[in-house]
Amino acid sequence: VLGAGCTDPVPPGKFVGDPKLPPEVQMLFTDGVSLTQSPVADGTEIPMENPPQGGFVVYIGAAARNLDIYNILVAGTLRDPASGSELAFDARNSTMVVGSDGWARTAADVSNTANVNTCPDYFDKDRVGGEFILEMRVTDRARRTAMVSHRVKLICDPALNPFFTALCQCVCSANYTFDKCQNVGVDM
Amino acid sequence: MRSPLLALVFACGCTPPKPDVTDVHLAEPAPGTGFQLKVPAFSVPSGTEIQACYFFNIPGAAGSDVWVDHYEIAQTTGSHHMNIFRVTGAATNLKPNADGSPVVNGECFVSSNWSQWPLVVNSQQDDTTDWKLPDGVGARFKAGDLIMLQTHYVNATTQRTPATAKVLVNFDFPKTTPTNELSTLFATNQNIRVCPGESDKSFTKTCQFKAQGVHVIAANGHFHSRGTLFQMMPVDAQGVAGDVFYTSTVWDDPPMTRNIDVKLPDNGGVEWKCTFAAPTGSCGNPMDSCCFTFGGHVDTQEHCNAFVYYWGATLTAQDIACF
Repeated sequence: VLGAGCTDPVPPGKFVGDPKLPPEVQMLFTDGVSLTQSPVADGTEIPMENPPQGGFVVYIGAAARNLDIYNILVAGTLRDPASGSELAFDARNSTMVVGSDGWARTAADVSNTANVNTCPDYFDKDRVGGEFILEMRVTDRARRTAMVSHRVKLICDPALNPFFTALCQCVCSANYTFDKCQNVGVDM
Repeated sequence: MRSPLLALVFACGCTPPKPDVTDVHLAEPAPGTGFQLKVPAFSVPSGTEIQACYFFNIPGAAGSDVWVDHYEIAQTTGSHHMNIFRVTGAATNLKPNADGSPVVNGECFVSSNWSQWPLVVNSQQDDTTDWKLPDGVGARFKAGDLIMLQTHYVNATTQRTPATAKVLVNFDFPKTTPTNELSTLFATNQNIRVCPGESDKSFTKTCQFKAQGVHVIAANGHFHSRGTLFQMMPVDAQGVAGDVFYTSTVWDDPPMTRNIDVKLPDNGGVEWKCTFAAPTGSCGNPMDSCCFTFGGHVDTQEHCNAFVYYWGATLTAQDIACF
């Protein structure tokens, strides 16, 4: 390393937009399967999905501009609208793709979008059918940051198969316990 | 737990390597002062890794409280981890063999089997770890409780076992009944993915405690050779993170931070962040662009697991929102 002159290991950035303007971000969601993303607005129904790690999550991505998108940090937060308390959080460095409209978007797969864990629901308010605050914050390597939040409704993805639909309805209902959903999908 | 890479570092005049620990001895507690769990020496053939699950019962008069305030753990070099869990809740595919032999690999490698079993204690360091809990704090068991000791030894590319695997663990009783019960959190971030050529790739999660007065007294983190930095910090109820209380930059001999007292904000929790770098040309899953995803196999998969020890609130898993 010394022989190389202590070179800067940080690769060059990839700035998208106008550095003189404040960073901007929009919230997106994906189902984790279709490799497509849709915009989130107040009132949007966000589908909860069964991720590799179990439970249920919402996959929240971002469209951003006026910042460096190289290895950008995307952070998704689920909040209780009444108290503002954080209920779930996931942050990860993401790969973004620049569109022809000048916005860069997270790659629409489960590893580049925030996996915000919505269930099991250990609290006393149903996640399924409930309204919550979703936040998306993006931060680049120069600490430029932008945040957007929306009041959304969480639903079980209608495309889930009957077993996972039943499981979602159970584990995303209030006051989950470990034995609550063991018989889901089992003929009694 | 150490990598041969240490030898190269030493050649550069930096950190001297710890000598290999080829055998360990740990005196059993005197009668009435504790008990010892023994994993007899076994070999780990070159190019393999062995994960073995041993089951034990807490000794004593059935149903009586058994308190422990001091753990002593001894492991030979090559141990990737040693975790002890309480076997509770619904039955899983991981259960004691009728003949008392350990479950080796197979169901012992399936993390969902023990995902709901509370952690007792863990160690990722070879040689002897001696952990006396703070005064007045102890772990409470019932005599007859079933516990599972899981040991993972590696003798492969990124980690080696120069001699044999061997684990000894002492559970020592306190002189007086503790007033505060030790509790634990074992949290895993399973949707991680690091691909060759990527660096500074981080994944962060939080676990929120529905509790007040929680004091964190020890912690350690676990990842594999792509891991470059493991951090833990408290978060408040709004999700604002505080000062880092655990840092590890060593994947194969990660420190266990002890003798801390971090009071978590009321209804706050713990945030943990794993940062990775995968060298160009490395390969995890050839079916997934050679990326490294969650799993216990050291050479080809990654982990981002947090172990947190605390007192101040006796919580069930349902009181901690992680996943």
